[in-house]
Amino acid sequence: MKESLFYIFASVTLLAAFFAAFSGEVKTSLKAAVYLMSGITGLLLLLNFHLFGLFLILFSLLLFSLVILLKERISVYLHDTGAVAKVNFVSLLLISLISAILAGLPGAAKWPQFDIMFGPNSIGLIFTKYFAAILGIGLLVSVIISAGYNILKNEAAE
Amino acid sequence: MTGINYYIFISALVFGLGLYTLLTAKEAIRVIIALVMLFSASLINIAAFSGFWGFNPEGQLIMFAVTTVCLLNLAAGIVLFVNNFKMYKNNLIKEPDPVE
Repeated sequence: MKESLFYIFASVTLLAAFFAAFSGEVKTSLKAAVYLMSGITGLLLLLNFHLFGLFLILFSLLLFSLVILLKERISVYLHDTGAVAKVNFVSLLLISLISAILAGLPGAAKWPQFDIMFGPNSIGLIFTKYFAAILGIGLLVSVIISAGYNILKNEAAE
Repeated sequence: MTGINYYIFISALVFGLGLYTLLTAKEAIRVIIALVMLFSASLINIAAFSGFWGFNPEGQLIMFAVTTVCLLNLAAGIVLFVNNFKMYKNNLIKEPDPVE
């Protein structure tokens, strides 16, 4: 079950990343980025990062609703040049290979000891362990909301 | 059984695609998407190492820091992008001359 879920989320993530990278239109890239976030949320859930998964899925829901609600407003800022990027798969493969090797190096030393610990990371920890994180994220959200409000207010004034 | 190498492979692919997007982007909003892709790849990597290494609090802290930086980057990018667009619209800054 967990394995099949991993393959589903991994395919969603990779397909969305491919669409975001190689689509000609910016709007398609934007939608693919939202799908990418949801795929990554699934992977985080599989790795027992429930809280971060929750935050990420809430953020992607917010982003999706904003894209749908402010469709006309966003379309003002999007300039489709119609340019299609040249695909060079060799360089892409090389970059991925180098980053995989660099990412794997720190873990290579203790490779046999890896084992998922299904330790408690429950919702109750929100009020104890992650309280500082919640405060920080609340601050960040307030900054984002006030910045967005200022932009909208300035636009209305023009 | 999916091991850590599966997660590293996905993270590396997403990172590579993000880097490619960043290098070939022609629009400002695509640059922001590429940066989010790069941060997401690092998020998968950190989560995988933290999850497979015994789920220590350091992993959570690093995750929190990376998420905060990612969201701040996103917000700052959008604000700068919208403001620049407005300045172009109001002729406050001159558009760059096309390179011949």
